[in-house]
Amino acid sequence: MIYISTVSRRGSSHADCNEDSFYYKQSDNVITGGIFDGCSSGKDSYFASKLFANVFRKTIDEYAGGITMTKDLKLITHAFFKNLKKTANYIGLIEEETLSTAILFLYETETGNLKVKFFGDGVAYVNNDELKIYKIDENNQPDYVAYSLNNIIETENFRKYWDLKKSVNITTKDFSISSDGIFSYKKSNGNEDFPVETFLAQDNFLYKNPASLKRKLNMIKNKGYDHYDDITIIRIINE
Amino acid sequence: MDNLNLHDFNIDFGNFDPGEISSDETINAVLIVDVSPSVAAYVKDMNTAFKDFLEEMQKSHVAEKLMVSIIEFNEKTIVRSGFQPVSSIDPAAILFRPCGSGTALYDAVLAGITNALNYRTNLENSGVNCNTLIFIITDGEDNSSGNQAAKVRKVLDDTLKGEKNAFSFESILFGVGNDADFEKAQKDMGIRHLAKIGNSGKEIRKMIGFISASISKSSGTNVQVVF
Repeated sequence: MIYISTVSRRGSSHADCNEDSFYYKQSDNVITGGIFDGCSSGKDSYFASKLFANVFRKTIDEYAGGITMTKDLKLITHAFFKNLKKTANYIGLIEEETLSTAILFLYETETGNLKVKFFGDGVAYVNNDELKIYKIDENNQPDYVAYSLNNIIETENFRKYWDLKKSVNITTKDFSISSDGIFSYKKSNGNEDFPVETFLAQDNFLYKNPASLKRKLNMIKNKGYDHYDDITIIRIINE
Repeated sequence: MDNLNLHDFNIDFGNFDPGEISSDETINAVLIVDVSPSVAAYVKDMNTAFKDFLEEMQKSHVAEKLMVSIIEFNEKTIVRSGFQPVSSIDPAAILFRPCGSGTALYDAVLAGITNALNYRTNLENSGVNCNTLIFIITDGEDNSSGNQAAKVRKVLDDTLKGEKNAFSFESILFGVGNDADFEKAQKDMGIRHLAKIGNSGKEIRKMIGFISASISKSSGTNVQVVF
C-alpha cells in the first residue's frame, strides 16, 4: 500500500505568494513527481514554479502508460525541458520569468527503486534503517535550468548537462523530497530544540493520512517554529 | 471513536476520531436546540429549514472541513450527534420533536461548549486548526438546569482570554419569539452575540440562513458571524 502526503506553504518572508509548486502522478507501477522553487529575485517567481509544474504534468501525461522504470526519468526530463522551451517561446516569456529549480523523481513501487535528479537546491530524505539526507545547496544561487534551456534541447548537450547534475539512486520504502525551505525554520518562541527535519521526514505520525504533513507543519508552528522560506514536501511510504 | 464522557452529565458524545480527519483545518459547528414543548409552534419550519441547511452545507465549499455536533434539550440534555463530518449526517434523520417538560438551557450550553473545547484541544494538539461556532436556539428561559449561567460564563471567559481563541471561537444565542428575556440569558452566560427572531417560517429560515452564512465565511483564519 502506498501512502502519499504533501504540503506546500508560503514562508513568512514572502508577503504575497508561495513561490513553490509541485506535481506528482501515481501510475500502476511508478510514481513520478517534481518540486519546483521559483527564484525570488526573478520575475513573478510563483508563476515560474507553477509553469514548471504544469509543463511537467503535461510531459508525464504524454507518457501515460509508458513510464515503467527509473531510467525513464532521463527521457522524461529531456521531454520536459523541450516542452518548457516550447511553452516559454509560445507565450513570449523572458528568461527572468522562467527561473525555477526542479527536483524530479521517479519511484518504482514494486521494486522500491528511487531515482532523484536535482536541478537546483533541495533535499531528499531516505528513511531506511536510519535517515539519510541528500542535500543540494548552491548557496541560493542555483544554476537554473532557464540559463541553459536553449542549449540542452539538443540531445548531446542535454546528456552532458544531465551528467553534471547531482542524483540519488537508492532502494527504499520511505522517502521525502523537499524544497530548501525546510532548512529555513527558526524558533520564534520557546526554549526547546525541536528536530524539525526528522519529525517531517522520519516520524510516522498519522502516516496513512494524506494530511499528515500539513498537520505536522501546524504542530511545528504551535511549538513556536516558523519557516521564512516557502516549503514543499512530498513524502511517500510504501508498505 | 474518540469518546468524551463528561462526568457531570454522563453524556457520551462519540466525536469523530481526530486521526481520521484528512484536512489540517476544520470548522466545528455546535447546534444546541431547545425541544421543550413550547417549540411546537415553529418546529415544523425549523425541521424543514434545518434539513435544507444540512443539504446546502454538504454541497458547499466547506463540506470537506465542516464538523457538526447537534445537541437538543428540554429539562435534559440529549446528544443527537458528537462532532461528525457534515457529509456523514443524514439530513432526513435529524428531526426535532417537542417533548419533555422544562428548559435546561444552561446545562445544554455548558455541555456543548465543554465538548467543543475538549475536541478543539484534541484537534489542535494533532495539527488541525479549528474555528468553533456555537449556535444556541431557544424560545424560553432556563427553569431546569443543575448548573448556573455563571458557570457557562466562566468557561467562555477563560476560553476567550487566549489571543488565538478570540478570533476563532464564536457563540450566538438565537432567541425565538417574545416570551423570554434573552438579553439577560446572553449576558449571564457570556454568549458573544444575540439575535432575536420571530417564530414564523420566514424568520426561522432567516435564522438558519444566518447560521449557514456564518459557517461559510468561517473558512480560513478567523470566524465570522454574519447577520
